[in-house]
Amino acid sequence: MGWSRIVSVGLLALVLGFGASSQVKNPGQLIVVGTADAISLDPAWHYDIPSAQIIFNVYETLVFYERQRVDKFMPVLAESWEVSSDGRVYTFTIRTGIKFHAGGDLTPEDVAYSFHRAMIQDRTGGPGKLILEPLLGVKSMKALAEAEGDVKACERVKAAVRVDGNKVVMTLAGPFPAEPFLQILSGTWCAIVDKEWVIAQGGWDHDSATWRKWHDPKVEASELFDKMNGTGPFMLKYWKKGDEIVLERNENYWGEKPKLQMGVFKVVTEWGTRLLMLKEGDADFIAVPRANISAVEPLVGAEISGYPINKPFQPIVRLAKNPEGTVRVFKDLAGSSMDVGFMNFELAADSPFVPTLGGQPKPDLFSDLNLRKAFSYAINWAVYLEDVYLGEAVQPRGVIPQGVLGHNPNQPVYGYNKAKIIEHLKLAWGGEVWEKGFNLQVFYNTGNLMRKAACEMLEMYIEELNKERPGKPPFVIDVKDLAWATFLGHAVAGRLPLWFSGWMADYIDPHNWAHPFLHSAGSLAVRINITKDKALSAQFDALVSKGIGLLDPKAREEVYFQIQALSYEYATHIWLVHATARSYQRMWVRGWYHNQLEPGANLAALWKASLDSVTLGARGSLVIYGADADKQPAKHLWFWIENAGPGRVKVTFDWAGGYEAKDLAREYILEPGAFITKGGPHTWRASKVTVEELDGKRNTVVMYNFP
Amino acid sequence: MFAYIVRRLALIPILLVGVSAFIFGMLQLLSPWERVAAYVSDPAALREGRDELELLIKKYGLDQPIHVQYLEWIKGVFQGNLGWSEAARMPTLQAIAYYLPASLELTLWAAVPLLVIGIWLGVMSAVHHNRWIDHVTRFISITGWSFPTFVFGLVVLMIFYGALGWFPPGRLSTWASLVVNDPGQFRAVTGMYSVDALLNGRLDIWADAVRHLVLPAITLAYLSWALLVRVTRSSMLETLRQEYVQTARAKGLSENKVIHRHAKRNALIPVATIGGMMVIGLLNGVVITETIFNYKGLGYWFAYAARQLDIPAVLGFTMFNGVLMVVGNLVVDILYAVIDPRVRLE
Repeated sequence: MGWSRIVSVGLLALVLGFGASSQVKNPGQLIVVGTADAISLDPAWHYDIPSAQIIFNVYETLVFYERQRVDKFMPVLAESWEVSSDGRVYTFTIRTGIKFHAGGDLTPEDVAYSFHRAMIQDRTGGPGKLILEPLLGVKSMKALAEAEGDVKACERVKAAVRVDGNKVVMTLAGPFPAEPFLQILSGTWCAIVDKEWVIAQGGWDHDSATWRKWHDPKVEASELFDKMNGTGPFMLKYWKKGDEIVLERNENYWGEKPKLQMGVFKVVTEWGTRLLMLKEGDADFIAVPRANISAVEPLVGAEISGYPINKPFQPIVRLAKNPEGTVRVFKDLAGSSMDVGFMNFELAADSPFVPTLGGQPKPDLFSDLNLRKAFSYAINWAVYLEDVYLGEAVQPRGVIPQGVLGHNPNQPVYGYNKAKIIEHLKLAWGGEVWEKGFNLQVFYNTGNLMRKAACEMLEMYIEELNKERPGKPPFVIDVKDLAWATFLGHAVAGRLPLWFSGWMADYIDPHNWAHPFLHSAGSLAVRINITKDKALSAQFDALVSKGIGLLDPKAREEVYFQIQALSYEYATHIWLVHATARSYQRMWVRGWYHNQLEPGANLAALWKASLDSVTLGARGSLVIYGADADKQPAKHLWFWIENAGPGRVKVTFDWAGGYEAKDLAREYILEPGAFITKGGPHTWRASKVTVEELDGKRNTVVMYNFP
Repeated sequence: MFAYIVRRLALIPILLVGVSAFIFGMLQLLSPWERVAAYVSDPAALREGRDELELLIKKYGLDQPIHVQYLEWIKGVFQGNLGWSEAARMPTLQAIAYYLPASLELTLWAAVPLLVIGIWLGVMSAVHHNRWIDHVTRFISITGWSFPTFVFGLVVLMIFYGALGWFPPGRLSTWASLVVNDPGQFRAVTGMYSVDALLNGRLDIWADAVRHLVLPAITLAYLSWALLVRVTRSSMLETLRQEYVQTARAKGLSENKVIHRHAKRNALIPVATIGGMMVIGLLNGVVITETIFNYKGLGYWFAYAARQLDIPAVLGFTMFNGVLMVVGNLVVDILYAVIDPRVRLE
């Protein structure tokens, strides 16, 4: 629908010029409009974001993140927990007096059953392996059963997570660092279900002899496919498949009662329709593809950046071009994915894409270090990040991205260098490459214009060197696209010579990066046949195993530094880009925060309230709210008061009864267009702000705040 | 006539086997690697290496020879099992039943303006041949004919929703959706909200449903007017030249009577055929309209399913359309024989 896009962008620009109302629409409901429906509501089966964002609002886990922190955990269904000195045994004391939505009581048996069920279900392509790996040291239940027999395998599952009075004890199979383990436990796949209720729905009877019947089910065959019964702040009202999921507030919630009454998750695949819904206030959050960013710009009233990883939020607000805008955008949000160029050391025998060197097939073309180095020097990151990612991305300094333990900001990286490309091409394959030329296809998945741009950059910088070597057979790079599934199929089978693809972390730990990319058994490493270089591969294997085996963060960091230095020295990959994300939301949404491991809107933290603004006759007042209009203290808050002009105003703060911002004066004179902002992790109570105009002009002052 | 109907209906199974074998064959041109995509909506699920993809291919039998897969599938069809639609998250047959009322409702709402206004404009155009009303009608119908659906749909959506906020996309507003999906408050009978609302005595829901139907119905109708107007117009023009019309005029009948009692009835015989087929065609042609207006009916589901290579859904929808076309054609033929006594079905 190429035309559709052109027409929609053009016309939307016109329509968005019309004013939009800022009166809160549907105040008790939060409406999230995305492009895909949930696949399954079974915590053990699902492994996709649209399903996870429903599950994490309905079910609860033993522990969970402290707001945006991915390294700090708070107890949820566990009252507290202890870790043994060797880091191998976790003992969780289970909270009492908690009821499931259907009325059942939460017991330690429910907790243990939930973990057992997740492990024995272990459907193909599902999240079961995330739990099996730390607890049993195996990748799949099938593998465990093959090794030990069905009954014994199940007994091992039960022994790994067992009930002890009001406690649940988990014993790890081997050393595993605490932070990633707690991140795994915070994931929706570890949600706690009601054992009796699940069995009543036709679920596993908890018998070690029968589990096979519930193992690896098709999506519709799992008993919790479209039913939910959690302990969380919201309950499933209905799932209208393909259309919307509605969650309603759990009035008997054991924790702090949510402010929203309802969460509505809608599926709207047409971009233009989603955008119009945001403008009309029929959507509070919408999914915005990067290619459509410019179409939302007319609606944006404030751009907010400065959301760091694992640090208090100190926002930087920039007023957008449209002061009437009803949408705010959070930019530069930490993501958990990376795009990488893969150079295949030796293609699979059945590859239809074998490159040629001097006209002869050369499946192991990239096993040559100099060739890999030449290609690594042929990406111009400064241009690429600015043009393709609009500057909202960074060049990774190796396999470990920013914000993750083991990231080395001082690690040298490759960058465009024509002389170096020539130098290494002349050395590659003992000079054969330079003399005889090559013919190579490079791949990206259809529609991914960012990856296409990287392929084309390689093509341009390498092929232009043909001018430097007249009379010789040329370097030919052919940029090709393949539909996603075909692309993936060929990539996993090791049939592509060079391609750009991505990786998204399940938990923020260097092991979740180093292992898949560089360990000989890593799912991405097998795709480039890294074991072709046995010595190199053995070094990586030793380092990766050492890294996960250590518990001391400092010692681990050192190991990951070594891994990245080795990867740089051997130019194993083109570490292309670590992109940041954006969130577009109506300004009336309050309480939002970003945690890159949370799957979506945390309904319990959010509510809606209009922008506070005054049009001054002579004098007016604004209120900086605490956590809500009930004047509850807030733990995180920031506000921003802007004088939209035309004259000057005097702003006076009255901190009676609340926190006094020590670095704020009591009075300010604001010139037209000026603003005051303050934020941080403080306890705030509602405070009155008096605004007075000074120049006898009718002024507008806008205040915008949220905890 | 009875034998004729039975003969035509007997064609359905043959047609369905033919259509399904053809589509099945086409889809087999895609490799198992491509077809497995239907079972994996999240690429992250596939990254554990080649084993997992191959397990999935085996699990869903995608590596079997084509005839084995086809026989497996057709066996299911005879047991009333069209397979699981990944796009709808339910069995295909259930998905058709689930989405049909929405599309039927939209089609009926579009058929009314299509037929009433289309025929009226066609008649007026012929009666006022080469006068301004004729020119305007032709202009309107030609622009309708040449407008791509998605352009027209987006334009009206932007004006009447984006700028004016009158007619929102979707099938219901959130508040109404909450009522309709609460069995304690609302009893679903037909699945067509504008009908069920009346049966439940909820005028507020009715108004909301109609508000959501206006734009997609007009979009569907507008784009089909052109053909109907032109057929009506030329048929009417021809009839008006007939001798019996002149006789009627010579008898001294009023022009109104001549046109509406004598000429129009005969002129509408070919129009009935075309009109009937168009209404069936509307049900077929809702794919783009429903997508633009986020109207969750058969068309929306089909477009979504096709993009995901949801093979059971594609096959199911195509077969459903096949049946619809055969039955629809048959109804039109019978209607034709009823309107025009000269026609005999044999």
